Amino acid sequence: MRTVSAIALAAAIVATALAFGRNAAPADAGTPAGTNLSNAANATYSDGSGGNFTVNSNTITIVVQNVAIESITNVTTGQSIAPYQTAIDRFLLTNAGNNAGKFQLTAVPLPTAQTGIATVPVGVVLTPQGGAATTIAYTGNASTDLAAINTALNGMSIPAGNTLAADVKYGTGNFVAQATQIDQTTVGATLTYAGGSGYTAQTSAVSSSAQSDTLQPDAVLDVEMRQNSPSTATTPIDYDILISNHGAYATQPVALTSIGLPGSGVVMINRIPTFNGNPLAFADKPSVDVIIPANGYAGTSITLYYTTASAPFTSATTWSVIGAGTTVAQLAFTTYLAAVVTGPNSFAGKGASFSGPGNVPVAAVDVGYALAQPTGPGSSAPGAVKNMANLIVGSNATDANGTLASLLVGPNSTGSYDNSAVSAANLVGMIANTLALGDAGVSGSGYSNRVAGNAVTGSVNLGPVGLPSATGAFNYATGAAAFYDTGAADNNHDYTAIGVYPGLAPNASTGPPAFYTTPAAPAAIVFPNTVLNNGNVSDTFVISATAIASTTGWTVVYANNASCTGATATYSTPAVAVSGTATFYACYTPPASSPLAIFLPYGFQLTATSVSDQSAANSTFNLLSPGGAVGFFKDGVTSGTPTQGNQPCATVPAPGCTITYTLTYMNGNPRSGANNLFGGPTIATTGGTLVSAGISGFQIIDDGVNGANQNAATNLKNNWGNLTLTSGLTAAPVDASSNCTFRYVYDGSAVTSSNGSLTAPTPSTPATGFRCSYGSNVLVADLLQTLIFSVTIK
Amino acid sequence: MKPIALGFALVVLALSPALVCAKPVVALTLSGSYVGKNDDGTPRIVPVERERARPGDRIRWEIDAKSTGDQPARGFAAVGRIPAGTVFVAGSQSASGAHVEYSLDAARTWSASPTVTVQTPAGPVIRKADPALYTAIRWTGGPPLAPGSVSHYTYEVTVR
Repeated sequence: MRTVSAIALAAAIVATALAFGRNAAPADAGTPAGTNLSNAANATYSDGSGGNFTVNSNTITIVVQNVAIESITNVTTGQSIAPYQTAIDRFLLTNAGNNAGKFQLTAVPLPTAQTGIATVPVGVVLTPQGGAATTIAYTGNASTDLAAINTALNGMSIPAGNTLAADVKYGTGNFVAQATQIDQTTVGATLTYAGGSGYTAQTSAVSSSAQSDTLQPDAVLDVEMRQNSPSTATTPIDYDILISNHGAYATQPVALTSIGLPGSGVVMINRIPTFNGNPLAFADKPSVDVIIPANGYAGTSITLYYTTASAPFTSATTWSVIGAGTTVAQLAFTTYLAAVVTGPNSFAGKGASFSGPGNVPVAAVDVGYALAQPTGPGSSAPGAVKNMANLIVGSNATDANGTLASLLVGPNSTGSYDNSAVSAANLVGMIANTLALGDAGVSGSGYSNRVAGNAVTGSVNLGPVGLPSATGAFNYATGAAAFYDTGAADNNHDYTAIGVYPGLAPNASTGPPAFYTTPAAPAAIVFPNTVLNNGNVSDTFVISATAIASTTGWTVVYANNASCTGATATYSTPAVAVSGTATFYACYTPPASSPLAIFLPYGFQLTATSVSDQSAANSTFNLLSPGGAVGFFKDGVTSGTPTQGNQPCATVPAPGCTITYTLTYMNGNPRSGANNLFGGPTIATTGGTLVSAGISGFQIIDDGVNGANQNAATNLKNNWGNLTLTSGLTAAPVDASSNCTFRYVYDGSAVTSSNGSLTAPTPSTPATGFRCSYGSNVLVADLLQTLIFSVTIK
Repeated sequence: MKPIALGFALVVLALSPALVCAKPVVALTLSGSYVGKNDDGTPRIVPVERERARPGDRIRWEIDAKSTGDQPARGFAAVGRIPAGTVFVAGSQSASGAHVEYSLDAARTWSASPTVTVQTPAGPVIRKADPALYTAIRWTGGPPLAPGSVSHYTYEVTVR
């Protein structure tokens, strides 16, 4: 087993071959097989006396054996293959041994895609050094192809030191890599020497070599439609169409004459959005944001065209240039917009990596325009107007013939790559602006995302706190200075009615007072109100107040808190999201020390007006009823003969006297409607007499006990305890409305909305308190009611 | 009878010292071996007669000069050839106290450090010759080969 430097020598020979390349002279091959290496020594000497002698040794002859040494090198590895190219992987098979020999391949060399698309093997070209090339076209049958290759190789005796070039050819066909893709080709071969005199035949071991090519992804066209939705009803809808080529190669221009556009270029076509079948009018002239030069497309220009024609386009379709002098009026009835990109290297791959179709973070071209909002029924509905940048077309295919069906278009539904042919059916859908990414049936290229817009419509409901959609029929006739019922409830006549300044003193002789005198420093009366944004954009609402009835001297300010802290004379709500609500507080302050008529609702009509759409407004009423909630007043009249003393009961009530109370109440507000606040936030604080809110479920409770709700200024008390704690109700009250169901308590305990006995009191079993419950009965609007009951003082 | 008597006389003349002039006689023997290493790293030496040569093989040539005369061989110079198809391995020669010279022209001229003239853009330049150009090696200047003594010379070549 010799391990002498044969391998090293072979390596040196290979290195030499490599250094010289295929056209270099044959490498310094090894000593040819069959060579006789003969050697013999000789010597000379003398005898010192002038005698010279020569002696020869024996002769040794060695025959050089066949040493078949081959090497295969991949001289073209690392190629970067452009789309639609036929790649050639060159391998050099070197006879690095010492005899002429013949190569045989061990397998058909086929490029193998490591990822991505499969390439198309074409064939192999065998070229002996200094000889003629032989081409073997692949048939697809590996056995047949290998046999053909080796048959050809059998006819090629390669001298020692010479090479044979094997050029493996493959193409990408009609497909291109989606992303950078590696293809690998491997060649394996043996080298065989024939035997001869004194030496034997020899076949080398199999050598192999592989090389990898990088298949460059094609242009990846992408288009994104962006919409800047207007915030008001009068502003236009802004669109931007962003175009980019995320691929590695430029998109080449295509002939456009078949669709009526001049010359050639990369074209983007966009159908102008329609509503009710009519294209929206331009509010602003389309323009190109000059992005291309910034992205390095020197010498590239963009021309915008418009047409009023309908698809499909033909060579006869008329397109007009949108130039500096083009007016918006001239663009009327435009149906399609086209942007044609021309110039050297018109659409080179640039910018950010492809991140999905319809997503152009770095645009090469940005075409912008603005359209007037649609009008008419349905125009404010979401998606009333749809827009897609339907088609962008370029070409990189070597077989591009100028027809749309075979061009590079983008993007496709998966976003992987964009060279798919556009089917005629899809093309119609794209141009018709009916198909977009994500739609069922969209499988080809050329679709963008879809944006949906609509007209801005402001809409607002203003109503009682938490009930912005309340309806009512309350109104005030200024001329007649009278309240009236509109007869049909709507959400402009809803209301919040609050009884204020309750606990007015009874007047034994005159009955209910006609007026209530406001304090010297009256506190603000606070009405919470809520707006509901029923529009289709986030909106802000301006609040205004109109006085009704006689509210001279009243002041109105607004705040965002119930304490009226920071209240202002003018007020706008914060931005309210679609379907969102906002509550604000109207703070009313009556004139100081002024008379306010009892039972007369003072009030204001509040109006909320949309900022986005000033035609959108809505009102509610804030009503204040001096004298108590709902207009509530209790008048007591004492009668009878006292059992003690000699003063008339009317003068000094004493045991034995009977006090007859007439409780007058009125629903000053409850016109027809729903969800109006009745009573308001102060309704639960009417002291010993409590009136519950609500049209139905109305209750009057009187437990004859001093209450906390006496008027602070007068400290007057409107209850039985004013006279004695031991007085009692000796008979059922008389209710003029007949709506009351009475319950009684007899032990002096508090009357609540849920306790009490149905058993009526008698003189011998007086009740200490009672409750009138309307239940489902309705406290009729705008009608004074009385409840009369007598209390006998023990 | 006559022919036989004459033959015998010739034999006697050849063998009798008294009848033959004394002179130095040297017997020269050449042998060759492939030298290398086995797979296990141990030296491998195989006589060339046993195997065919292969490019890259290293051959050690050995020259044995045995003085068989009755006088010393003076001015002894041994010449080894570097066969065509092989390349001298620089430094592989044994010295044996002799002066070693090399020839680039098939033993016509000798030099301890042969040179070649190389044409360069600046004109001819004399450079030391690559040992691969050696065609012969010679040992000179050693002590006389005494009768019965043996001198041993080795050098190595590589098969191209």
